Amino acid sequence: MISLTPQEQKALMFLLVLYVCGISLGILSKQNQVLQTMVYVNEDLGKIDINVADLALLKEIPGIGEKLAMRIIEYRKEYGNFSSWEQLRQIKGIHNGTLEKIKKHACILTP
Amino acid sequence: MYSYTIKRPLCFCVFCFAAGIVLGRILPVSWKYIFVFSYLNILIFSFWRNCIVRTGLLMILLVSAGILAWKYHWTLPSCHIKHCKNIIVGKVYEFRGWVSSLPQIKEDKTIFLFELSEVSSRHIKYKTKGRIKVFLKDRKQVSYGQELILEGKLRYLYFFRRQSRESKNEIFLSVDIPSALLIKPTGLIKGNWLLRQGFLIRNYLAEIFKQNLSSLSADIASAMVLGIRYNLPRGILYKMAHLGTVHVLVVSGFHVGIVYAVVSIFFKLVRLTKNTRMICCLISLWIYFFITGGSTPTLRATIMASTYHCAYWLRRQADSYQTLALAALIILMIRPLELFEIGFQLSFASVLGILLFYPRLNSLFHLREIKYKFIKKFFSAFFISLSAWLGTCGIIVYNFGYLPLRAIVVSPLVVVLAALITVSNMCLLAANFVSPCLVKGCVPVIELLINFFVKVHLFFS
Repeated sequence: MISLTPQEQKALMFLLVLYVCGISLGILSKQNQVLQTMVYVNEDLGKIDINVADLALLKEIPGIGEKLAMRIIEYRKEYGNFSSWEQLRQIKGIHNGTLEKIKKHACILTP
Repeated sequence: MYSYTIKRPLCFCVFCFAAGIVLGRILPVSWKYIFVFSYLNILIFSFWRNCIVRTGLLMILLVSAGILAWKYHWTLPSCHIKHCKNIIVGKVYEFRGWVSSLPQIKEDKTIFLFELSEVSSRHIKYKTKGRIKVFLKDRKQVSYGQELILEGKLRYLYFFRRQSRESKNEIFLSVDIPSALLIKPTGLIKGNWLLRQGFLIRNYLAEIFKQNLSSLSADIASAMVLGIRYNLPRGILYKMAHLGTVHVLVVSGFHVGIVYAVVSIFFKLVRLTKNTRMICCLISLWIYFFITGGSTPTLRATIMASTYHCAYWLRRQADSYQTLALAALIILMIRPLELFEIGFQLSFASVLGILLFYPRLNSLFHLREIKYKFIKKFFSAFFISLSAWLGTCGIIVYNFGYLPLRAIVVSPLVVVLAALITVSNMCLLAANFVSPCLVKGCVPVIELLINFFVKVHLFFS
């Protein structure tokens, strides 16, 4: 036999009842949590923001090498952030083809 | 009729609860049947008066509670990322959530656990739950509780062979983020307030070590006093693991004991009354628990210390086995999956080993009859180390496949050194707030002790 007085046994039983109830309610609530989905448009997901990216991140964009990345950073320092893709044409080394390549992997988020 | 009384009811309760957790892992029974079965037990218990039957019913109820506890912690919510079939590993997603662990900076990477609230692809947003491990290819100041939006590629997490099934259940995905620029804080702070304050204090104290000590000494000091182990050189960790002395780098009951002793001496010098001193020491222990990140061994030691204090104030005699069982019961009720973690097993096995074997070794070698105090203390320390080793050797052999025999000889010396290093570092921290002159006095002593500590390991390995 366990050396607990009847009052101690009742107290232990009460605590166990509470614990079992709590755990069971917890399992029920976990099983009834429904996965909510919403329509969300973020075409720029996975693209690098050209106004914020540093040299290393700019070099990861296909079509941008080290020299072009440095020119982009220098342009940003001198004229501020890009507000449209057309501004990028002013940088030496960016032609139509290069710009199309950059648009697939980069975005302009922060004006 | 022969009747046997279980004199240590808490040991009986924790044994039954732990057996329930193990059964929960093995039995493929739905939690609903266990719940109904538990309630039938309670009904029978209410009406039956026979002591033996009541004890049996209590045992069954504890086992059922253990099974339910395991099922609850093993069950992931229906909205967990694991149940999200549309989220594909290998694709880039946007994740919203908060930092749920202390970020580790290893070489040029920042690693932390991230508690999810939303996962978005280009066209759909999922309100999901779960934790993922984030590997950021940059050093970024990210703090516990910070809510972030990050973009990265989802992949499966690599697991070490010895990791338990339970640790792989919830956290099995990771995100690679190539740049810190892809992390945007929302400005909100979440998580446990106490843990957040604890981590802030921990980082501040780690900075004090970095400013005053050499790189290796600061790393070892941070590991021993604050529990920050990710900066430690792998070579030293490997040598200590092979020698069986790596436990001195894990903040556990040993460190809690040293902190208690140092704080107690300080409050004694300040001339506080015994009760006030005990309250202050207890509060200090709980603060230390939060500073070190709330690990299981520290929680065990802090609960045991709190129980001994309560026993003193209630004028009851504290039984060591019951106190250990109470600590185990509290930890298992909150985190039942800890039963399968090696940290939990080693922590409790070492204390149990000391409780079981130390008195027997003491009486076998007639330690009380030794006149010289120094020899008596030396053998006492050796027997405590040996008892802890005996308690944990089975678990070490099972998990790591080797028996650290050299630990029997090296452990007492390493433990003494670790105690001196911990005390010296605590003096350094205290001196930092009092006077820079005192700091200059502590630093050479700490450097010498840590150098000796490293040389001992190199010699014996």
